Amino acid sequence: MRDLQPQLTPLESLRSYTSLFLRSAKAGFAYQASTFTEILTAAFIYAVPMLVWRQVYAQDPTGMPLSKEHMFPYLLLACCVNYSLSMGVEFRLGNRIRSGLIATDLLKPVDFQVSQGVICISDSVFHALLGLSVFFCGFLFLGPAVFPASASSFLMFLASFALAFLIQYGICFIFVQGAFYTYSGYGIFAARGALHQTFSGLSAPLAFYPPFLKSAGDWLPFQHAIHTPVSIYMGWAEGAQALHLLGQQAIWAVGLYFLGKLLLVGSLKQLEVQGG
Amino acid sequence: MRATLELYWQAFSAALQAKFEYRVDFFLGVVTSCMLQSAALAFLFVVFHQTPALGGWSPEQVVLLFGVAATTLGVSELFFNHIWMVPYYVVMGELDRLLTYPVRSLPFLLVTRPELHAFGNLTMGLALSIGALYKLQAPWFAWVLLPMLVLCGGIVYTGALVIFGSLSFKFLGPTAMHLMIPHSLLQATRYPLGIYPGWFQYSLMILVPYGAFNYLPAGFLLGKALSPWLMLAAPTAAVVFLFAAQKTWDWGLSKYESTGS
Amino acid sequence: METALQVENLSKSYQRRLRAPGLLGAFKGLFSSAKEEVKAVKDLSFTIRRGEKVGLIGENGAGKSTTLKMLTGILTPTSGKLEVLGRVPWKERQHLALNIGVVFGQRPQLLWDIPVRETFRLLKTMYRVPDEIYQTTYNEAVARLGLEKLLGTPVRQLSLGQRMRCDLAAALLHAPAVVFLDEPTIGLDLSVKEQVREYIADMQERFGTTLLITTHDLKDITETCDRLLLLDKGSLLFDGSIRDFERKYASDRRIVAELHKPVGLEELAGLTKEVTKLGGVLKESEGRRIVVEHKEEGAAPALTQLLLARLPVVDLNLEKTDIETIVTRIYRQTPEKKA
Repeated sequence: MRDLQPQLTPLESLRSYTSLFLRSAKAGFAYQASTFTEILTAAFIYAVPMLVWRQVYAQDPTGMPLSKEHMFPYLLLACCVNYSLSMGVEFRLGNRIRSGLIATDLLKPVDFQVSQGVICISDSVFHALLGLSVFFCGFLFLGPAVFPASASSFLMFLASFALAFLIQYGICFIFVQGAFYTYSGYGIFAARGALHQTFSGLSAPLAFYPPFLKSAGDWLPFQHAIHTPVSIYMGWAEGAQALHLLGQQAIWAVGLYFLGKLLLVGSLKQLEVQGG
Repeated sequence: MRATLELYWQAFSAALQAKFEYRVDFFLGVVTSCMLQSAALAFLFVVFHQTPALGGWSPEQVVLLFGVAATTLGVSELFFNHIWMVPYYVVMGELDRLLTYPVRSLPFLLVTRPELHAFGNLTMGLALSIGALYKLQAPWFAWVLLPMLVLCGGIVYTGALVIFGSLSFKFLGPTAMHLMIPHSLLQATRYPLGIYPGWFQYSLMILVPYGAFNYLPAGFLLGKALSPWLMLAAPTAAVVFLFAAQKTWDWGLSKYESTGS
Repeated sequence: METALQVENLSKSYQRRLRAPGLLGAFKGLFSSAKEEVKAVKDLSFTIRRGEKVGLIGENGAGKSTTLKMLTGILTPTSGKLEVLGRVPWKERQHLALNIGVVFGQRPQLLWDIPVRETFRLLKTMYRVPDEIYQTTYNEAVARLGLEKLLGTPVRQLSLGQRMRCDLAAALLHAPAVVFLDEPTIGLDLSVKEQVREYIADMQERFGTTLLITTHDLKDITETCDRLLLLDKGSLLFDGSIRDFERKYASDRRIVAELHKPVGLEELAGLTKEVTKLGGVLKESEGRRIVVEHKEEGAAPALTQLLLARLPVVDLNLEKTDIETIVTRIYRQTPEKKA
């Protein structure tokens, strides 16, 4: 099937990816109410851990791995980054796989993995714009502490964020293929959410983790989606250390890409088996 | 009346039996719901690694709150989960079939799509609640109260879902995103409400009274100087929400436009 | 009670949100709400007696399904009066539902994961069908519609044709007084269509059911119904028997004759005069083919005899405009021209 795909020139590919981006961005605005409630829900979900920590610090601020002045900016940034990495890929892809429409996607003359990624970029941009407003609110509460540690930290943060996006997409792409194998793909993707929640450093910096949890997390890519970019932003990792982290992210990004590609081959075989 | 309950039971068991056919999904559902609960517990772990108590609640006490919330979620997911499909049905006009049946649309709809995640949440929830009560050496009536609280909780939570779900009739959207609001609020009650700002506490005790079946009764049971009258809060909330849910649903149906012409 | 359905000045309007095109328009759409009113059904009035078999036709957007949904209590009308079996549908939906059956052509079942057999059992409980009636309807349905092999399959896994047959059986299990069918044969194979139409006709005869069928397929109407309602853009254009419909709109009948050799110009002129005398019009005469059109039913034998006597006819065909063509022609006309 894939051998018969016509090849596009790079310019044609770029054009089709751009139109894909615009189309999906437009679709994102289609429903007023669901955009607002999505923001509201995200606000709840992010607020809870923050309020828990607020309580903890109120009880006894001494003896914590991080001072209050650093903790809350961290949490705020972690939420902004997390929100910016939101991808509707499970919903979209999951439905297409379950309904069988995926077959038509695979016949299109653009790389499936990449084109889905482009749609996710538009998701991310949309959420990042909203995340920026949260950032400004955070500035109102926390003051200049929310700004990056330095100009170079910020630049490296941008690179780290881009890599974090690739890692997050790579993880999602792998997990969403669960929809090929199960009737209700929700299960496998929820597992991804659980792992992300546990290991990404969203609710607390890794320094707070009990040792066994931290060591487990070090073997997984989740922390590189949130904790790594935010650490760089906050200046906790600078210069050579930061570059080292970026390198780790890059390795994960590449590895996840190829793993996803490999799994897709197997999943498609599964699809042909089920076909009809 | 009896005939109606028999019908609901028949529909529910038929739907449940059908779900059991998908064995992979069943095990996956149980495993992932346990993973989600564990993720939240992991956060608790991290928190209690730094401090001995949260807002005056010890780790076991907070675990009790977790357990009740999880079991409530499980009850709703097992018996009343079909509500999550309503936004989709409304947009696609698929409620037509339901409305041609000689049944009350809301209860019949609710019982006809059990969610397999429920088994994971129920198992973990019960394990956590029972474990916590045992470790805390709770008084005997706590054990009697637990099923009542969970049942009332299931009704209040489902009622909140129905109320939000009914908004779909007026404000169309293909996803059940707005149902995440009552869901997230339930997850928020896993922590002692004292840590939240005052207005939020009152919201969770009066507006969307999850506190009525979780925080408040637990507070009383654990000797936190609260009135025993608060025990009545849970059943009262359940009755109120049952009524409110039905009314909101009826309103929603009157706005139902279906599709096609 | 003699009357099954009574409809008076029924209307239904919707509010539609207007959306501006393009990305900027979509973004603006998040904050604005311009609306327009769409009138799906305008001032419908008709009465259907018990035991009648009525077809409701119209193009997409004509208001057929909307009307059906108001009759079954799914939608609330914007204005007008409506009674089915003596009850007001949107007010007494649950009570009315016990005595009606509804078949939706393409809509999925609500409980699509459970096997067919379970669905039937559930419906028996739901409609409180007495055992004797259930035995009859169930056995008839399984035998006539060939459902034996499908009983154990989850509804979700059935093909469209199989699902339709099960849906039909399900709707008739409780032998309702009125049955509404919304596009019952859409997307079905020809053989299945036939099966469905026969089954409907038979059950109708046996139980005296009142039928209301909305459809695009006019064969559904011609084979099953005796009365026709034509909807266009929400209004009722025609209400009467099928014969009346043909008589009113299908004025053209044709006689097409194939000749052994072409006819000469003189011959043609003389023929034209005589054809006109008999009430016909000589439409075409190209080479070896002659077409005569006539409006009246009774003119056909005389014209045919004339052509056979005067021309070297090799083959002769009598054509009547079919209902499909009539309906298409009606839709193509401008609003002012419509009767």
